[in-house]
Amino acid sequence: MNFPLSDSSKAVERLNQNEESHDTKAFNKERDAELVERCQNGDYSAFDELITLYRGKVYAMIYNMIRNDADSWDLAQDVFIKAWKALPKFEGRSAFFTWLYRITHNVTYDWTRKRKISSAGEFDDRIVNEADPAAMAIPKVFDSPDTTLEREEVKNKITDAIDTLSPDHKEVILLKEIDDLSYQEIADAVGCSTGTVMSRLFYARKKLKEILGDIKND
Amino acid sequence: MTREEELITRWIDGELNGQDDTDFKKLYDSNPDIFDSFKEDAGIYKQVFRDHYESEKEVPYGDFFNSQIKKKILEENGSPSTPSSFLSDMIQWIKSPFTWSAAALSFCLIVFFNMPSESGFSGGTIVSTYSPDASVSIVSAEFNEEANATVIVLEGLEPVPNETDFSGNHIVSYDRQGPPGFVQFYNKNDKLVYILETDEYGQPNVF
Repeated sequence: MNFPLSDSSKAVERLNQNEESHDTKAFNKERDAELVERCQNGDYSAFDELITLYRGKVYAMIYNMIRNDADSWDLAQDVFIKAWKALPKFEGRSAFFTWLYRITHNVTYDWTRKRKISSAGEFDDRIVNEADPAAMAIPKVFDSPDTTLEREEVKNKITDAIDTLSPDHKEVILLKEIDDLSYQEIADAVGCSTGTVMSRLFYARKKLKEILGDIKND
Repeated sequence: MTREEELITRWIDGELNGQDDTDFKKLYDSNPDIFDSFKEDAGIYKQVFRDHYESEKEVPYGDFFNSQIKKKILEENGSPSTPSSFLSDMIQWIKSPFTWSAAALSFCLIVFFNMPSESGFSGGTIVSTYSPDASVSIVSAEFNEEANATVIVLEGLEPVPNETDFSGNHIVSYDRQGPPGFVQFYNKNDKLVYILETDEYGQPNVF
């Protein structure tokens, strides 16, 4: 029996990557715990260090969802202000960044609700089913997959499709594919069960697979 | 979510273990082409994700970003001090010895300022006054900012003799050495300017 991406060499590679990842994660957890303790004792400079450490990730997470630099900048600040206020309640049961991600999630969702750009948790099939006149002129990209322009067209279509996913699906798949969080970390960040995380991942990938199929057929 | 969907998800993410592995093997064997296609497509858009989305993005004007956060916290709270809860703040405040010292001092001051003076003085600046002669009452005793001097208004004194010249003397000190009611006033050059004494009839006289 041969599982293309589960053979022993890949497994060992993944195991080694996981070990490095575990070491880094363990170091980060210890460092963050020390900084959080200093913050809770009134040391604002420790909080400033945490901001510097995580502002890039928070900013990226928000930007990936709303795709606007100015608003992302403002919302990222809101995240840290809320984090400062909530620090007394942080008990260290989860990693600091997972907790910070949760605040980022809440801030982003509150903003999108106010802006009414949420697609209400449902994938918008109209985007997939509508014929795109430009698509008719695109050559069959998979006839010559190494052609940069053709690959770029495919990428753009996939990116457009990703942006049409509902916030719930998009957020989960971004946290998995980009930030490589575990199911439990994603569940903690977005406030749902690991079962829901896997379910959203599955359906997001299924929708994207359908889009990829449409692109291949064009 | 079905068991099959869960197994596919775990397989794509490399999260199969134990019983999951065994169950998935059976599933895969049923139609390997479909699963391979699923995994291949997942690999394609995983690459697209990594090309078009960032795990970490540089914040424009990072130092300014940090300073704005601090500024907003200051504006909301007054100071970026300990981010403690209101209840723990209260407890810490009550337990502090300085709180008790300050409370005791405040209590003493409140009692002291609210004690009625013997002369009936009701001013707010001078702590206490005393007139040995009951016929002389102190109307007021307060600091006059314009004159930069303490002004004491008395009632019941005999008129000041016309030949006594009070002008041009700035009293900066006094001493009460001598019999009761005997006070010597000095100017800034330590020169004796006035003498206040009480005569045998208990009347104050100024010299």
